[in-house]
Amino acid sequence: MSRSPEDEAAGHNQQRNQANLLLNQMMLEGRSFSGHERNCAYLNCGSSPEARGRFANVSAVSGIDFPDDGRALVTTDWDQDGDLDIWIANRNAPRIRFLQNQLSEPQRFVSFQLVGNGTTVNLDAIGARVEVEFESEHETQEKTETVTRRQSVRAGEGFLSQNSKRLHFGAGPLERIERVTVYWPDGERQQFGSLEIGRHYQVTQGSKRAVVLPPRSHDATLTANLQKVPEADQQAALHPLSPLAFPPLTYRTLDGDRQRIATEGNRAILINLWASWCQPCLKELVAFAKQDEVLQDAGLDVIALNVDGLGEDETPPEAATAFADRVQLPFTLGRADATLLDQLQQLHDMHTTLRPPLPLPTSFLIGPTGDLIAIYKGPVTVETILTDLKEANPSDREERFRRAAGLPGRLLRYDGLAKALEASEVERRFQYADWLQTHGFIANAIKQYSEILQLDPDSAKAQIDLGSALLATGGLEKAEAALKKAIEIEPKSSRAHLRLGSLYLKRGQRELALEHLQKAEKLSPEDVSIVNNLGTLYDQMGQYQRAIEQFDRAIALMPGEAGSYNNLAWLRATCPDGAFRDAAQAVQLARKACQLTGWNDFSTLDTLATAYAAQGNWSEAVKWQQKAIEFAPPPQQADLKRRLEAFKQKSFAPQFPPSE
Amino acid sequence: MLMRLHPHTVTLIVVALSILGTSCKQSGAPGEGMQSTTNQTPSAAIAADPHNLWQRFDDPSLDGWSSEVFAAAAAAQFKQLGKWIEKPDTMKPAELTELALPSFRCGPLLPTSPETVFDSAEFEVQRALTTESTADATRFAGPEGLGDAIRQLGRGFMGANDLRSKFKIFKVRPQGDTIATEQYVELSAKVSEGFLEQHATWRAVWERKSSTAPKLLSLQLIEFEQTRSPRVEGTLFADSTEAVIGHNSSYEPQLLRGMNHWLLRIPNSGSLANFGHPGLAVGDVNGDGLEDLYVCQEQGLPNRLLLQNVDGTANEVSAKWGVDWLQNSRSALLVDLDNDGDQDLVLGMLGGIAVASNENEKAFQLRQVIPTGRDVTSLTATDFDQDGDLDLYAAVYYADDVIFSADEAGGPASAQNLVYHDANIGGRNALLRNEIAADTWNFVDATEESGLDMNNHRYSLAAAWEDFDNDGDPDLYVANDYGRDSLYENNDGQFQDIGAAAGAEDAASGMSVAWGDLDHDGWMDAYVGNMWSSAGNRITFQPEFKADAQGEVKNRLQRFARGNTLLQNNGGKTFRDISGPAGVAMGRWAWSSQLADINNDGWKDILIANGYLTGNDSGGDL
Repeated sequence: MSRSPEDEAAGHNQQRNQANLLLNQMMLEGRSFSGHERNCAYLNCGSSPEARGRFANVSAVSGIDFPDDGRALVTTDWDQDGDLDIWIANRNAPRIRFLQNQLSEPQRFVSFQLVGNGTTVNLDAIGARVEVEFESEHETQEKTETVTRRQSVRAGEGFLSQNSKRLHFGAGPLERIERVTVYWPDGERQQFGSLEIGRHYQVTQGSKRAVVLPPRSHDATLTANLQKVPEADQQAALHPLSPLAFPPLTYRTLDGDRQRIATEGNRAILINLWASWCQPCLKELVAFAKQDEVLQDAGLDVIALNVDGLGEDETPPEAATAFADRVQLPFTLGRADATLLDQLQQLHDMHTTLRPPLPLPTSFLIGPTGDLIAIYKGPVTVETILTDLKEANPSDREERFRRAAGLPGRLLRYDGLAKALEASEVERRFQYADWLQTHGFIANAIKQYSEILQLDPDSAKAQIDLGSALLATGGLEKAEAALKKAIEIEPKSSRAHLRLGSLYLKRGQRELALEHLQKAEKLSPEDVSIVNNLGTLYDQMGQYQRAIEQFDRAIALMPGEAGSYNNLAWLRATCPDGAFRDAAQAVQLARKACQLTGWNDFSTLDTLATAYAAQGNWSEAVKWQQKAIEFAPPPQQADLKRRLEAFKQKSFAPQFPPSE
Repeated sequence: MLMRLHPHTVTLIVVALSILGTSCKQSGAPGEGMQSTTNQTPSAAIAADPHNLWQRFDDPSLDGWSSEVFAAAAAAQFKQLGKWIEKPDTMKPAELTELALPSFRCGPLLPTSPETVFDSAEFEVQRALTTESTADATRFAGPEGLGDAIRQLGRGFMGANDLRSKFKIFKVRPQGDTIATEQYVELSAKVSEGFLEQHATWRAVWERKSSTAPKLLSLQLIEFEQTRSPRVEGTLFADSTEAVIGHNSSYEPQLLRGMNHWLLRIPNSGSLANFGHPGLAVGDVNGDGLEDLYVCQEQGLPNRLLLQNVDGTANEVSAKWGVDWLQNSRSALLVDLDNDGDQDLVLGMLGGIAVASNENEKAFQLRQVIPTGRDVTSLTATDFDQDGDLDLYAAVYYADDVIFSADEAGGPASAQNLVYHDANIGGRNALLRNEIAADTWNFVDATEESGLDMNNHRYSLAAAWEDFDNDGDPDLYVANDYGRDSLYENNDGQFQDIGAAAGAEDAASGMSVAWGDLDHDGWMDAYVGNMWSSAGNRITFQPEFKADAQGEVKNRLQRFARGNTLLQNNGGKTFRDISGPAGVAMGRWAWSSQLADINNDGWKDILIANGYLTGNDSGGDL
């Protein structure tokens, strides 16, 4: 919050955002945040002049101070013994508490249940106000004194809470009720005399008398007893809400070769993570082995992936093979590497907001159609797996919702339900496609966008994302079609124009690129990506001054965006027009870009190396180019290596193409 | 038994990548815009390992707030002091010198003659202000003196074996070679004559030399209050939940399991999943004269209806009544919508409002789902147009288009254009006019036509109707997170937000609002739930905090950590914030607050449910 902008125009503060993300991360892992807080109660000392209007903190002595994550709180004289009891609902366990008021002399009260006439006043009489005039002997002056208390009938106050609609007046030491006046919401006023303390009354609009409600037939004798919250149970199965096709992840064979998990063979797959030092894992594997035939009959293949030796674990690789040899596991064995574990963790994390590290063992069940059916955290029985396989029903969204639920219950069925479930599936598929694309599974992302477009053919966002994904795979024709379709659906989408502009830029159709990028800039003048793309276009068109102005503007718009520095650095280092080349500035800008990307991003490191080369500082150029290669994905490496060789030869050609 | 992967090995990498994914989402589609620029840059790549980063984030020494470093060190010292108060026998002279300098001085920490300011059968309240003489102020000297002062303080709790202590440092002020801190000190225990709790404010002066283990120069008691309850058999409120609902089959598997249990098992979507949002509604749904309870539950957990029996116990009948709905529910109301004499059900859920009619006091029948702003939080009903039937108002938190991604991205505070102290990019609250005719149920969105779209883009968590100006029609208070609240005055069914002019906008993290005539002057006062944060109080008053911000902005931000607000109604025109003098601001991270007379003395007391997220760790409150 110390980093909050002072007004909306102040732009985005990346530092603050990073802090927010980290805080969020902390919470998603299940750590406490302002947790273990005790509920509070403040006593109104209003009757005592010595208290001077100050309430007294009675949180502990009242017994309300449970250290729960309290949410809703309502009051009601549940047991009708004349004092107000409390129901509290919590985020954590126990989720609900009934706190019975044990007032020793609860009879000092009067309560009213109002009934409106049902025509000009709602029957619940919400909005009605009751005035009770109490009379008491004044202690010192020996004369009577009248005090007036007022309350209204309300429905819904506090947070997510509705109190009892009965109005409860404490009488304290006051002796009798002189008069009760009801102000009905339609303006009518009614007065009642001779009512008694210690009674529950019902007052019906228009009726002359307040009726004493009959006392309850039984006394509510409820024993207080601390609730016994069971131990946390980490063993859990999660069933995704939507059938998402599992990505083609890669594991290592025991020989260390890379092996893709094939999900297209019409067989179900159980990916199991285990460690040789994890007893429950071994027990589970033995159980799978024993029932191998049953699993085979059900069309399920187990791929048991060992995680020994990852991170700081120093278990030697032989431990896993020794176990496998001893037990003769009849299914595929392999090893998970850190990348695979990350991916599995994230494939789990996208389904829930509580994301502690996956336990061992963990299994992912993939159905014969290639969709993820369940994630089992902790050991799972063959019986459960078979049931889940049998009951997986990808087509029926309502059924999936019920299966994903924690306990049996029903769906609230209404006209818009199918659409609502569809809409949330679309959101989930977008999120998943985004993940797939970020992790290089572009073909799978494209499939997701097609699924989305089947559910929602008019989604411009899906067309844009589809176009972008196709763009990344080089399918420029199809990408162009998708993006054009997006613009047809949403002509004012700056993103669609941006992507189409970048497509034309990539194809070298500069006029079309210029047309769409300028449209995009007009629609979203503050969009840094657009500003940068236009800069790149000007650069390609040889309009270096304009390109520099664009990159400068991009930096001013979002000083934390590495790409803008990177672009400008590249131009300053490699511009064919010597007038615009400035190697020193290029180094400075590239360093900034590297700093912002944490010195582990190949393209900014490549720029830095190139800037040093432009300066003639060959040792630095070689050093940083090597670093860039270290972090570059395989497809980019050849290009970077070519440049490294050039730097080693102390050769620098401004015109050579940047890494893409 | 389950085993975990070695922490700090694989886990670290996992976290690193997941945060990378999150950042990508921030900037739109993956690789947005950058891949065609001169030199491709992934849109986000956070260098340092974020797992490590958030641990650092939580470490004040790396946050640039030297006052926070000091507060953490001082808190550790107070924790030790608290242990000694709880168990004076464990005090060792050598350890005392670790806490107090030879020049340490203090007066009695337990006032010798506190004044009784309130006395009743249930509670006795005593207070003292420091008007101690110089002689008194230096009565205890040196480390040994600190030991004596602690023993003197503990005397009131003699014989208690569950004494609990808590220190909250809310102010840190450097003064030359010393640093002064102010803190709330809470002590409570069951004692032989009943229950006792003490709340004090202490002023401490520390030597500045060590930032890791500062030593005390002096302690001064500024305020002191202690409350006794003479009830030896137990506190006023006793948890009788098990007796009431423990026999139901849903009790153990569902109600004894917290959200952290369910979030591992149930996929969730939309916002607020991590918050938990179990709303409660009280009403007599079967017309037997006994109150019943409806419990809202999060996505994938059935809502529960508890029907009270004559003996006070309650049977769970949600399936039988057709309301064991699994959708993401937030809040409910039990009210008679069609004026037929029974209690109907209104449900606020992710996506809109469902209304169901009570059918012969045996079941509910769904009548309509009204699409509103999707992220519905609290509901409140009244007859705003005074036509004889109940209309509904729903508070809405996130704006529709960000619901799915907003929590993922880090909550409202991560939104690019969020102004923390005055956010105007939240959801749209809805007023729904009752147009039920005969057997046709219909509610119509009347938000715009009634004027309630004024200032209607805030992060609303709660709302409540009350005729604050005693003119005979219901007005509306809306409590908003991240900024100003609204007070809509009703003029013949047309509303205007007069919050600012009436001094009622209470710009903070509004979580709840409740009404009641607390001072018996005939005008309804409002109590608004907010957040109280000792860290926030410490930081926002440091000179470095927003040093270059306008005074107004700074004041507003400082206001955020102050806690709950009691708005005293000045004769129906304006409100006065009397939270300070009334001593009711400190409600911690407050959610529902209610005004209720718990001891039948005719004066409404304040009840506060609070606490944000409790995990398996011992991480404390802010």
